[in-house]
Amino acid sequence: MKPRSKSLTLNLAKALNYALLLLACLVTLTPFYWLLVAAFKKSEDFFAHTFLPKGDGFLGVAWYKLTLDNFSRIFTELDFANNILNSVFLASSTAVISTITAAMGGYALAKYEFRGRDFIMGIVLAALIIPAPLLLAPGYQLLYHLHLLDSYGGLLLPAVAPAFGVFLFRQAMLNSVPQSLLDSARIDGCGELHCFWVIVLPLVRPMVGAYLLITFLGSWNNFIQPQIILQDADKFPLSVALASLQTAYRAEYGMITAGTLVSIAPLAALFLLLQKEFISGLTSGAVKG
Amino acid sequence: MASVTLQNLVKNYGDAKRPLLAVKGINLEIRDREFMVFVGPSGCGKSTTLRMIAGLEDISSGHVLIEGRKMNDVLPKDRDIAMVFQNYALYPHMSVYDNMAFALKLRHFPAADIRQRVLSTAATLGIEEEQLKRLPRTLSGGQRQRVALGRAIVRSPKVFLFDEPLSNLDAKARVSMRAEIAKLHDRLQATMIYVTHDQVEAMTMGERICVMNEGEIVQVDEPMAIYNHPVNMFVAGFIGSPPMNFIHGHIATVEGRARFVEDNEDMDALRFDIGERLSLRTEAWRDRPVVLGIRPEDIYDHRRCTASQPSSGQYARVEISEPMGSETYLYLNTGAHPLVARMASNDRYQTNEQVHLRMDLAKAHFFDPESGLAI
Amino acid sequence: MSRRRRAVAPWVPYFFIAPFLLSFALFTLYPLIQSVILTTRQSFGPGYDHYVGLANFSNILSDAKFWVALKNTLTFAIISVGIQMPLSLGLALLMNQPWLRGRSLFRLAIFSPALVGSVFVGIMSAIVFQKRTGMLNQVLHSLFNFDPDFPWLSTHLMPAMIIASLWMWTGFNMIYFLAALQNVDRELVEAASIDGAGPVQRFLHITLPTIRPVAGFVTLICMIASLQIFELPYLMLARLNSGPEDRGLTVVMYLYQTGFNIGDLGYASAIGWILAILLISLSILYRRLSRGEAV
Repeated sequence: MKPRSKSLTLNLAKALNYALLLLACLVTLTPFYWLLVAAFKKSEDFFAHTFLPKGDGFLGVAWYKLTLDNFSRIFTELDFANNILNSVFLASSTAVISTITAAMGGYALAKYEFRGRDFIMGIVLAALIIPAPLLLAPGYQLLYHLHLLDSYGGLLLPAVAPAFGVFLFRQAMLNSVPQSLLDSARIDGCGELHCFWVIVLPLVRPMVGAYLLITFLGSWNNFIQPQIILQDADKFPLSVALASLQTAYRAEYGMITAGTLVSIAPLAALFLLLQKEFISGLTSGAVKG
Repeated sequence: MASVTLQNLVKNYGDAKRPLLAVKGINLEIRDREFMVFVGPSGCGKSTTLRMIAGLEDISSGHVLIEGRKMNDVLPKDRDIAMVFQNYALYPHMSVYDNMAFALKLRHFPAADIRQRVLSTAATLGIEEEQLKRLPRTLSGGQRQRVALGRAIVRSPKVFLFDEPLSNLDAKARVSMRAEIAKLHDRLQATMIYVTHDQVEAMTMGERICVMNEGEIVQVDEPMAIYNHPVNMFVAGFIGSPPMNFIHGHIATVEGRARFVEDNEDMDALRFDIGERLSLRTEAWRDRPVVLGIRPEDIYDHRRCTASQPSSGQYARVEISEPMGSETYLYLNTGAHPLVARMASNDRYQTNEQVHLRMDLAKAHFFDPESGLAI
Repeated sequence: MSRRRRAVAPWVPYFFIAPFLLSFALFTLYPLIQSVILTTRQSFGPGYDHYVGLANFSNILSDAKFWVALKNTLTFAIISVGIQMPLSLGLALLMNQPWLRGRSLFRLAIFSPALVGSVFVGIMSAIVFQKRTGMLNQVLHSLFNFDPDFPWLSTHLMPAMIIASLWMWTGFNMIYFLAALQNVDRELVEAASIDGAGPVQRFLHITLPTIRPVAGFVTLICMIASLQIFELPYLMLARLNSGPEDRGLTVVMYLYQTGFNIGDLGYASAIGWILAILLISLSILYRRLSRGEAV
């Protein structure tokens, strides 16, 4: 083959590669763009234009047809501010509780020798393959007996030290907490609990960050548990509130899309800030089974 | 004021039924202000012993005493010890200053006192003020170990424990840190216990050396005493580099004189008259198998020696000659035994050349081939 | 001989593991045992609770609705995962070109739907997939003259769910494949090209074997997630029902309906156990197949 034609095919292949990736981006981003635009549209324009309403404004868009009404309505007619607070509270406390307790469990399994350790490790591995839907019905019964229905306790307590978090932290600590550092801390006069906070957690900081994020995300996106457990609309997080908005106001597409936008915007902001932790967290978080 | 005493110290990693002994009941008195080096091959129990002294490892039976006080039930932090680790064990998320100050902060020293101690320790170790703000990972290996040393010194403990502190350093940093630790011992006048697998470190640093093997103490003595009078073949072979040569043979009486004869199928076996003094010492071993131990520096090339008459059966073939610069290591073979000889740097040898050997038998050792013990 | 104290007090490890043990005992083990007991009961709350033996299971096996749910779930999982895997691997290959610029931007964009929970995707899809007025049909119509009245949300709910799931999960899987591809030994690839292997042969004989363990693992977790699909169809159908002829009915949705709409926790538990057995056998099958391969 002549060098020239070879470089031509190579360039064509590169161009095709970029084109395919751009297409993939277009497909993934279009729904976000649609959502962003839809949330600002008046109800009469909602379906009239697929995306931005056409007109004679800048870039051929009828900018004046856009409105903030949808947002003001979900905050005034509905109590979305409250739902946001609920979601933030639930997701952050779930993340913090789950992270600390999972890290504790992982630390015990990775760095201590004690009677029953292998057995407990076996429990952790077995618990990894129990599917969550199986525990929905008996879990509901249990919360009923514990008088934890319609309370955040019913959502937060079961989030303590989930098996897969314990498993993840154990792996992380096996790899990145050298025994000599713990020895050194003990000789330096550090108590075991103090040592956990001051030495161990900082050593697995990437894992802590990633795990905080995935548990935050998991709780934020959780629907079925709060849907079952919570009854009082004042306690609803965004996922449940939005789902009830969808049934109660079927044709209020503007409010529904504005609500969805409000629900996923904080995640998008977090994601842009903490991209690396998110990706490593989500990929490690899925390391189940 | 701190002696360290080990009494029947045992570490059992198994259980009572199936014991897995790492340390098999050792007894040792480490004197106040002494620099004691534990040396031995990996798995000999030296690090386990150190960790039991530190309190990091459970004591299966026996006692550890510091200043005569039983330490078995005392937590590591209350033993008034400091430890320097092979991998430095610096807290990676704390600055150099905070690493050095950590133990003092935990002991609630006043901030001004902490600052003064850290700064003066840093100054004596040549850690620059600018480096105190940095994180350990920005420092070189040698600098990190200096910080680890500083972290130990800052507390002025009674006993310093070193667990192979130089093993991760490159050759140059190792030599300078070796000197640094020796100087430190002179200055601080503290008891230091130093674990290493490197016999050079043991020889150069220790006031006394404790050679361990398979969980037991083989020999404890001053470096030159160990070098010159190893109690058995293990110590003889472990201390010294290149290691001592061992030649299996027996002592025969030829023409009324005691003579060592190599076990060699070749007819040209090594034979040496062993002289009167050695002859007396080996009286009981006449005509029985023995092992002759001779250090590489005690083997000479006959041609380079003045006077003395050549005798037969003292030839070996050159396999490799390694010029080291300051000296030349000559790898020889007698047909039955490989030998290493240390020759002057300007001597040149050809492969397969026959060298006429002489040995300084006054410095030879004899061992019982069965027990390995020195005769 | 007195019990000696260690460098670490003996209660310390138990203190650290205690939250896990307590949480596991109360919120996993106890409900797990209860779920076994529940399968033998017909229970509409504490007021109505009868022992029915294995009747729940035999009822399920003759329950046409359950079979529809199972068929839908399996269809969804197999087709969705079957498309996701090659698609995400293909994207990862495109992303793994050494000369590619803007890799992190591409990754950011393609990965972003993974953040959006399926509850929100379901709500969006309920609007996007509407016939005539929905964004998808409008775009497809203007590009390919696609039938604007294509009924995604009724008779063709299954393809709609699959499309939505592809949007949600493909980028996520791509991240795994990309990480695996970056572990492929470059020297090995170079050696193969010197030996005269073309791109296709290099892919088949070097790249594919290296990423196989990861591919198997990603397939497993995707299958497990897909077989538990609930929010997507539930909200695409605006929580009204399970669609015409139950086309959107999945196993977990049926579990939810029987347990929490009808209130028979016993029947729901029996469905849960059938799902659990399916998922656990999948995990076991995976372990068998991947024995000796490290992920």
